[in-house]
Amino acid sequence: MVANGDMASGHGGCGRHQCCTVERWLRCLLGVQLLFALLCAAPSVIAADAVDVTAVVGFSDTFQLGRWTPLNVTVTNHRSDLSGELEVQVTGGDELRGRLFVTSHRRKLELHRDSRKSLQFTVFPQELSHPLVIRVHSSGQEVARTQVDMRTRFAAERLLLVLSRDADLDYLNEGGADGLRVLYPHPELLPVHWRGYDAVAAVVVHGVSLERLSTSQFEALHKWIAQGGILAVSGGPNYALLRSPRLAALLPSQPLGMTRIDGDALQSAFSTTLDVSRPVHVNRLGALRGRALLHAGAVPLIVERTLGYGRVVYLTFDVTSYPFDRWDGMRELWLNSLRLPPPTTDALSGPEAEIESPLPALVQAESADFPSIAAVLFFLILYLGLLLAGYQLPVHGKRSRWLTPLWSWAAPVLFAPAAWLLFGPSVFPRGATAVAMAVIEPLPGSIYARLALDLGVYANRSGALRLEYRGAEPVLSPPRQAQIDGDAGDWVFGEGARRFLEPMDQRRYVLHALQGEDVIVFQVEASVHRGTTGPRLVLDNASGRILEDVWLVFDGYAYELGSIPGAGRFERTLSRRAHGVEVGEASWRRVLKLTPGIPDLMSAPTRIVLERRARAASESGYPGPGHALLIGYTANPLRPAGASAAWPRRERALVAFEVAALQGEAAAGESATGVLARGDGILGRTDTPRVRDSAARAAAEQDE
Amino acid sequence: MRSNPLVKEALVGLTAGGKAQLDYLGLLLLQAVVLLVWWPKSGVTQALASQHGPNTLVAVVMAVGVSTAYVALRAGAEEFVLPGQHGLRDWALATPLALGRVVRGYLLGQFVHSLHLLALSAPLVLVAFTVSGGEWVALGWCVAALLVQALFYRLCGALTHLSIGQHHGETLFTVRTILLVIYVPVGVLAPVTSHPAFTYRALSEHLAAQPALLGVPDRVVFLTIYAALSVLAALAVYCLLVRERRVTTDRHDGARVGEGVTS
Repeated sequence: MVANGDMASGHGGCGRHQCCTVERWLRCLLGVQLLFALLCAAPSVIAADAVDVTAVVGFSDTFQLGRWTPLNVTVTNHRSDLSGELEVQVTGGDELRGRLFVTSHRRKLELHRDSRKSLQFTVFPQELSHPLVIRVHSSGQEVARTQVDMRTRFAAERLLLVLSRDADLDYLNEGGADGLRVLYPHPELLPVHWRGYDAVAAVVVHGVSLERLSTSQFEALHKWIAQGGILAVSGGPNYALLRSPRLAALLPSQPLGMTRIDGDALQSAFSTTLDVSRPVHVNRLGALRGRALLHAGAVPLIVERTLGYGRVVYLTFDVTSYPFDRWDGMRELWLNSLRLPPPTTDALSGPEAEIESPLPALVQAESADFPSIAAVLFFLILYLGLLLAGYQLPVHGKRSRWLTPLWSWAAPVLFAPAAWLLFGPSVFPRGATAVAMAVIEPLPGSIYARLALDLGVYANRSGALRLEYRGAEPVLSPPRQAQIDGDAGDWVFGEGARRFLEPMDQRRYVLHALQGEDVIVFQVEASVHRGTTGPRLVLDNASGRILEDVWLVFDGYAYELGSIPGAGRFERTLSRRAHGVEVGEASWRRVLKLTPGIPDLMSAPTRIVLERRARAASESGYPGPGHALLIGYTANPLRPAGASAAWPRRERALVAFEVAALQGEAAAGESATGVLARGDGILGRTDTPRVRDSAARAAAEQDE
Repeated sequence: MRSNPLVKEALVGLTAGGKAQLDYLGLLLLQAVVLLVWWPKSGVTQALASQHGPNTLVAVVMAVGVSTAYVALRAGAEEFVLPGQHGLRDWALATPLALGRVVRGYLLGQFVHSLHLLALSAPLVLVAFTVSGGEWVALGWCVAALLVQALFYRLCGALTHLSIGQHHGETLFTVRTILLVIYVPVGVLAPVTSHPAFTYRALSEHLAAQPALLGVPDRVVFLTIYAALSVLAALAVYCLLVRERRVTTDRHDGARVGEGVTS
């Protein structure tokens, strides 16, 4: 028993030992399983928090549908150094019209561990049902993704941006499509491209320096004003801000100090409803580059200047201080001062007439065509004839026997590369071609010009078609007609070392077209004086680009002017009889041609863009009444670069400058250096004399 | 490769003039007509407007494919032989060469012959290539497919010859029927086995629009099918040759095998 008991105890010990072993094994197994689960879960947990993406659409997260808008994306990297790409996908098009299309904006992204970077895109949101998709890729993998719901962020009203720390202009808010939505964006989040202001009716600056903006932000603001934007600046005791270089370059006058105005003078200037019990201090101004809209005695209260098609309004008093902070008439005063133009239609609205693209005409005019069938026939006859002769001709004698194998193989071996060279690289090279039709419209009284682009790429082989370019930074979108027809394709637009665009459709023999807009530096000033026998033209070309085949269309006549050098002044008195060709209101566009002897085909793209422009200005006419139009050709500002620099190009850049005609002969010596105004533009070049817009000058003279 | 007498014979035969070359010249003429018919008549602008490039290369490569298949079939059936070239049966029965070597030489000789035909068609293909915008890689795949297909047809022709070669009329009919049947009904019912369909998928612009169709598996399937069929056909040819040699050996006690060649 004892033995048994011992045995039993021995068995018991053995059993316990086995139990311990099993238990140990189970624990080990559990540990391994836990470790395995951790290893599996860890990457996803780490990845989930590794890269954060946040986005602000438009201004203060508010945008208008169908308008270009800025998109600020902030990427925070919590993991190891990140080198990849940030992509924003915007869905456009109309599901009812046809297929939707996706536009991808891509930027290179390099972020160190625990660092953050903000990048701004200019996007064109067209519909609310699809969110904006923002993705971060690295090494071919998606490391972060976020979607921005557009439905909660859009506004129907035009936007009024107030750059201020403490101003409250909420009384300007008004609902409806014609109304206004007042927003107070952070100056650092203002657009870096002028098109980002598409939905903005006006910008108000109060107590904030524009020196806080980056160079590209200030340039964008300046360009936006030049092509029709309105900037309003409120004065006040802190007028030193207004003397900072950027604001000084834009304002119609510089504040020199403060001056006191008594209540009665203010009431007579504004309204008797303005409650003024004590004198008010306003900015005292120096030389005026514009006109005074309102003044109290000799003291200007609201002054204005034009910049291109836009205006800068300077209110010499503090709009948020006594007595204006409590005045009910402020809303009306603002609206009267800003004189906001009626809202324009967005890109896809408006008449649905067929919009012809100049690109096919340009391809037809300048493209290398397929080798002719006659050349192919000749080649085939030669080749087959030689083969036949080789097989038919008997080879006599042992000495000539070596010719037989040579004959059999030499003909194809020689003709194959010959076929490739003759019909390939020499006549019809394989590869991609860039097609661009640019219309440059100088903005009067500005160093800038509006650039409208029709851009296309096609290839005679399949594959990726990435066009790298430089010289202009247009916002690009599929052509309006393609969007109306519902056959707009998907595109990628990228920025990095070079800007690029790439259609997602890689088929050959498909012309992938885009439309673009930009404002570029292109300084041309002109004045046309109506004379008894004909006009007198004074043109100051400071663009640095030669204008070729220039025509002047004025008063029912077209005048051929030839070439104008890239720098300098051009003056000519034209006679209707000697130089003019009588033309109709629309037929003048057919008169223009490049050079005598060049077929009509060559001028077709020009005609198309001019007719399109005339259709856009249907009511006012093109050129409008009392206006002259200068037409010429110059170098295309947008040029293929980098890997695309060697692409064949079919391009044309048309300069179309509409100038208000002045009555009477030009005074002696009055020309481009006539009435001078300080520059509107490039800082550091503010001493460059500029000719003021004739309309502004007339207005100024009227005021005087 | 050149140590194989069948290959040597094919190389010598290809460099001499003769009916075979003239026959292929006729087919080259046909390819030239195809090239001219499919040559783009309108300009680049019209091609861009219609969003369709010329299909010249597709048409020419298809024509070259049919031509080489037809020539291979006829050569296999020994409707013609190159100058100085002997038939397969002669090599098997009248020489002491191992049958494996004979079949290997026969296949290599066919490969050399197809290469020569391709070289003759190359200028036409390249002229078409310049305007059609195909890719070199895709063209390479088509050429590979064409060679494998030609090998299969050559062996089909050889099988026909070894089976019913003594009946000239039937051979003629069978050879053409094989070409027609495999090209038309089989090609329609199983497009993956069709060289025209393969060429269209690889070279037409359809490929870029639907990249999935362009996948390598699609190409590999075609090559695998024809390579497998060629292996089976080569085995069948080998078996037929073994049987014929055995019958002949039995008949002559094997004493005089090889006399024809050695004499």
